[in-house]
Amino acid sequence: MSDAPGRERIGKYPVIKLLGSGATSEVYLCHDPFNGRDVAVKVVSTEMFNDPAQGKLFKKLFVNEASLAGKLQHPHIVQIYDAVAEEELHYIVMEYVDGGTLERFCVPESLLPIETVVEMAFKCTRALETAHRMGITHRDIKPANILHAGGSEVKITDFGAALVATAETTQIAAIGSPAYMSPQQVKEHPLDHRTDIYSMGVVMYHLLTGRLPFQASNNFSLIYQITTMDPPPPSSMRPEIPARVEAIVLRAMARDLDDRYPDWESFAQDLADVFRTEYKSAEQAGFADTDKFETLRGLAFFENFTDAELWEVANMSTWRSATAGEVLLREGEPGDFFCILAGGEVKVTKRGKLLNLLRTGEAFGEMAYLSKSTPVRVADVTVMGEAKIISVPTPNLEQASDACRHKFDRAFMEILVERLTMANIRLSGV
Amino acid sequence: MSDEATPEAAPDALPEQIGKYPVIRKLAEGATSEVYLCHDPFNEREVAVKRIFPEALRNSVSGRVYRKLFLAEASLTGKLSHPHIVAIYDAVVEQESGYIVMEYVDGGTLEPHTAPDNLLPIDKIVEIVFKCTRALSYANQLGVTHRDIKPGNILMSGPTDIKISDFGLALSSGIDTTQISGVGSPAYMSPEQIREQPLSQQTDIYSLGVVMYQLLTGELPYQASNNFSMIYQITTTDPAPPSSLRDGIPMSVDRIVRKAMHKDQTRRYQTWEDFAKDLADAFRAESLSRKSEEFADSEKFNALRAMEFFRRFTDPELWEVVTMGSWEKVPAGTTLMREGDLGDHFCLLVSGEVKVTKNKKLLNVLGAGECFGEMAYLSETSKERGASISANGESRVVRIKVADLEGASEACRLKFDRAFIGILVARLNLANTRLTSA
Repeated sequence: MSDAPGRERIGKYPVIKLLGSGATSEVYLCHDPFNGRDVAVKVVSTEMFNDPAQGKLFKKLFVNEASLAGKLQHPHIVQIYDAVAEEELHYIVMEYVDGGTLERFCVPESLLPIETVVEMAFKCTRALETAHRMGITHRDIKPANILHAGGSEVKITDFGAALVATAETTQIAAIGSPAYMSPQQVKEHPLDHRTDIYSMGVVMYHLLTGRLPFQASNNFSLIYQITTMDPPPPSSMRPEIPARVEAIVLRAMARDLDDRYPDWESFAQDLADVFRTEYKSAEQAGFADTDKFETLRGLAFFENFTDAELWEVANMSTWRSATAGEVLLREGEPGDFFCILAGGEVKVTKRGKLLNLLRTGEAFGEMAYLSKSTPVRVADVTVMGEAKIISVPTPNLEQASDACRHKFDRAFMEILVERLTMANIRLSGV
Repeated sequence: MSDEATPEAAPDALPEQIGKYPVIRKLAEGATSEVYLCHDPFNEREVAVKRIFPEALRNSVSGRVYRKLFLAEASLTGKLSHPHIVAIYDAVVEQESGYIVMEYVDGGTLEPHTAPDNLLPIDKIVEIVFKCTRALSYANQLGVTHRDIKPGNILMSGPTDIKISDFGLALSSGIDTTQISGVGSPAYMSPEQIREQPLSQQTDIYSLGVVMYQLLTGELPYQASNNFSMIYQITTTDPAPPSSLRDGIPMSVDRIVRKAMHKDQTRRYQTWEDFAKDLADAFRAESLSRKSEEFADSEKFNALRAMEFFRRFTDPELWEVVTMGSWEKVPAGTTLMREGDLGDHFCLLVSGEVKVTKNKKLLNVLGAGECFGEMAYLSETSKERGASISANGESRVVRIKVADLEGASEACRLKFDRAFIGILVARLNLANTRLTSA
């Protein structure tokens, strides 16, 4: 089959346009008529498929890896819909993300604000943690494999070793280079998730400073530096980089595995902490995605939510601070949202009589959501001290995934069971 | 396109691949299409792929319009997700080739059971037809009519479990093969279909009436040596009642067939629900079921459908409950749960009455539609039964194991939890009222 540009169709998918091409692969924007959506189709044309001895096995591996990676469903991972390995045509069908890659933010003249880089890195670490838990290592983390979906939203693409071995192009562009490879990877040692942690460190370095940690005129020199030298500290190129951010980058990029973050969890934790301490002053501070996610994860109410579900909550809710004395809910008002107290204390009163004091992690206003018949507030809720309020509009929740709504219901069920038990104890005691 | 089209093979040679799907073996062949068992490597499952012959695509009145319609109908039908409907996973139509990728059902069609020497028991037929009516009702609610209901389009996936295949006008016209086999014939067409009048769900109701007739008697309602004569009879004469052809067919079943097959649309069943209800009633009234302690699926389904608890459940979700619950008829005095025992299931009372006692003190009496033992599911901490439950009169009870519910679909579990939340809110309100008035 000819590899000439101007393909009309790839398998069953009519081509809309070419998105990018590299030495062994091309990515097309296509349409999926059956599912009625646009998709990105990456056509891989490596010699390995034609190998008389290994070709068949390799094709099988290609589909198997894509099938496994396709099981990853996460807001920060590009969804794989299908993979096909035929006689002369091999391709992967993916979610189409219209926003370019992080590559364009890797040049000194268009750097992102530091807190945005921290936000993005945080989202990547949590997504890669989810992948790791499913037994998937990426092995080719680089700015070109992280798609930008607006603001600090990112989606990681091109998971899976077999895919990586054949693929140096993403949905947008391509560079083949060991620049983001870990020392273990260039030495061809056995790899685990810590190779991705290293590469993520390099990506942060690049995004923060606009340059790669190691400069070399050829790959051999690059490999030599990766395996033997320390990179110049990022702050030497961009002085406003806080020491703690720099420390995170350098720890992620530690040559020695013992010095590197042992897991995504601790990497993510440091990013969240630095965000909270360094960027508190900003107006939106405390309500950046990083902080929302970390706050939600710390609340008992959300104990059983998965990462993907927590991100859904972070996106569907509105967050704000409230000062003492502010009345949040008023008896008799219609209610189409409920709240969860992310910090501080509120009191529940009915005609001036104190009914309850609520603390961090407790929900209020949820009866309007739970009982279909009375979407009206039955009590007042007033802020006692400085409080952080998460509001979840019920129409937004109705739009959420079944899994996420189900988790909310399970959490509310537990609260109701507890309240009912209390009420019954009081009743039997009377 | 070269990479897509299957190598144009000799009629008898097995294609290696259809689209992206490697072929395992041929399942059936007809005049305009053939069906293959294939493998889907990405989703790791077997699928049935129906390939339409290029001539069929070319011969269609207008190839372009037909191809568009084909895809639109496949896509719409693909949205039907129901245990008694064959799922459509994908559909591809090109200049010279077209195929539909479907759920593979390994059980044959109803066709063999239309032979006089191979008829199914009457109760089974009523069950099967009941499931068809509910599935077609679900499809109708989503705006899909079938238009080619016949035994060859109903696949068997268990003793009385069926899956309806080949929905949609574009998919069925000019395509005469199911996953197994089939011959085009006007035998199942409604009078209005033959007259080319506008069609509604009632055309499918008519066709299912014919299927029921044939399953009961082993004969088509109209015998004819040619299509013209068949068409004449369909539009003008009444068929002999099924009971005249087979012993043991109750009057009520006769009536149902007659009403489903009525030539006059105003006197035919107006909706699938009416048809389904009569089938379930007939089943109960005639006590068609072999033993009285056994529950038929139609009976289970209808009992659940009538309960307030399941009001918000969709049909597919309700069928899940039918499958996961275990049903019992218990005499008065039976102890159903014992205080202090560890609970791994909860129950719903379908009919009858049970009493709740603690230390032999009567706490409550529950009637039909109420649930008990649900704390085993609701509470993370206390799995111990807080009270004893025993039947006051003869009662019918569904038991649902917590472990089974946890294996159910997300949608089904979500509905259970919504129902329990409703109950908890009501109880909490009651408790609060009692507390404030105390």
